[in-house]
Amino acid sequence: MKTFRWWLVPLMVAVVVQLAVPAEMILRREWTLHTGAVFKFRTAPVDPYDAFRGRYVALRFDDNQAALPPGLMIEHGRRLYAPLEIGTNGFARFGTVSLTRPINGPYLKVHAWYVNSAHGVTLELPFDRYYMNEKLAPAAERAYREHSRRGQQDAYVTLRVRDGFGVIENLYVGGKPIADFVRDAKR
Amino acid sequence: MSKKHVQWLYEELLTLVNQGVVSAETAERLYRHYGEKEQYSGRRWAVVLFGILGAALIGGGVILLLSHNWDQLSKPARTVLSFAPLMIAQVLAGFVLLRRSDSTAWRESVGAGWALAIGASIALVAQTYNISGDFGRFMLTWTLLGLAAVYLLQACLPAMLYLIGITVWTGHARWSHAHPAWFWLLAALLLPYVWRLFCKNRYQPRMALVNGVFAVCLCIATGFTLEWNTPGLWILVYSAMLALLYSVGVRWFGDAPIFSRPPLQTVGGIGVIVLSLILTFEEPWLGYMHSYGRDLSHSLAGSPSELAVWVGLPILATLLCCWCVRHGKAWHMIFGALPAVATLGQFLAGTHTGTLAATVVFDVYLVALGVTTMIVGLRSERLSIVNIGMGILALLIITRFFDSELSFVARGLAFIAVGCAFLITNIVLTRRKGAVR
Repeated sequence: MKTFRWWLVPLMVAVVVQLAVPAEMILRREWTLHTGAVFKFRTAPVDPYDAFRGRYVALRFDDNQAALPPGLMIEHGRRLYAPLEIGTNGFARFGTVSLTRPINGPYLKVHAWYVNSAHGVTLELPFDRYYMNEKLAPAAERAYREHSRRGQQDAYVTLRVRDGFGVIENLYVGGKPIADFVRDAKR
Repeated sequence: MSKKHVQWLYEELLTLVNQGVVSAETAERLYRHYGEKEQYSGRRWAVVLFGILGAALIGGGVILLLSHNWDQLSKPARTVLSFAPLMIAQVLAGFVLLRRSDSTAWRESVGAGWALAIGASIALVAQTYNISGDFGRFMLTWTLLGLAAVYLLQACLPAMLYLIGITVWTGHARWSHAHPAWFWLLAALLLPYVWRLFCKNRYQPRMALVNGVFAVCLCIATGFTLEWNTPGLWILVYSAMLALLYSVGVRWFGDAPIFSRPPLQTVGGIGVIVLSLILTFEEPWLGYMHSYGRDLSHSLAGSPSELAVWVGLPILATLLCCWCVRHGKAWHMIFGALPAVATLGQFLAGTHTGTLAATVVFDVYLVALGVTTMIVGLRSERLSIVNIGMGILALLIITRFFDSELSFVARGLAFIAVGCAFLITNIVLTRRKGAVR
């Protein structure tokens, strides 16, 4: 007589759920990278460390301010929808935030970091790191520091945005992807 | 009797004591008769421990290897790598359930590897797609997915990793937008596993390990979950919680054979001593005194959860303390009395008598704690308990001598006196035991 294996169904459920979590993370980002609109954000790379995920360059966005609609009172951590616009310099900037999803145009789902004044809010953006090889990350920061000392603060990330969800595509310094920039700087 | 038979007997004894067939004293006598337990079961547990250590090191190594960020690898290769450790661990878990379900070493080591593989998988995806550093979300996803390893393999190491994980998450939640109070619900998710362990055999080493980690995590996480709106609430909450841990240890694990002393009692007891020692200083009472009468009622009225904790925990601790007294374990009441002493201290600190009265109350309490423990140890001729009692008194004396303005001569003489008391008591008791044998 065959013995009943009680654990088979829970094991299958666990296997599916555990594989589904990283799979969903991957598919959602791949979909955005393939179909999302491209935006450029000015940033400065700084090299820190994550015990689990390795070395990365932390991204400090130059323009993370947005306007608040008149009369809207918000608190720290509040979920906001920030419409994206492209400025005259070709870089992205945020329009007036709202508590509801905009009907038209690209936008990002963000959180309020703090309210600067009655009309402005600093946003907590959902992308703050660009992972790099453990040797390249510190070299990238050093190279960028050297580069910016010569008055050229031209680091930016390209971001793919779709339905409020953003995925970092690449980090550029001096018009080159950061990995190429570091390799050229080393020569 | 051969080693194999003695090992069988020792394993059976735990179950027999648990089921009430054999009393703890009889079990203790049998252990003494046949010699140290470790010499028989040591090898088996060494295999389990090294298995766990090996799996944990491999899992940790995989995480570190992936952290290197192999930028030469293409995205599809990295995607395959993200799933590989997880899928290997899942296949191994299936193998263990199918073929090695009766092997503790297999279940524990594969469980540990599985729990770590989940973390490695999510971390590599986060690295590949530059997912933002939301550490809290990362920890929560990891720990929740790891629960499968706890329940399917009935392994204690993933359970301990889960407890550590939710404590780390609670700490992170404290400083971010999340709600640290979710800790209680997350901890409750482990209850069915703990209950099963308890029913099967509450004196088994795995129960002791989970209990030990749980007690330490509880002490840390409680601080994170408190809203700190009510001045001085932490004193009562911590005193009640530590007394509760101690009393639960005495009530449900107190009859454990001597080699597996219940960790709840140990952590609770150490906590009671440390907290009492802290409260013999004036600093913890200072902020409390200034705002006691004005803020306490207002703060508690505005925070129902804190009010529930403020009232519920001391009541629970007192009930368990009463149980200990009724069941002939009266001396344990001195540890369980901490919430009552803390309430008295709070009352005194909040009135015009000021902080000095509160600190004196805790000085007296620690003296009572030390003396009672010493007397119990002397009566039962157990050197370890006598030393704990003397240790409490010595700690109190050393602390008071450092913060009072006595001359170096007086301090020196007091230290010598404490040292002599330690030595003489130990020598006398050891000789007396030798003479009895």
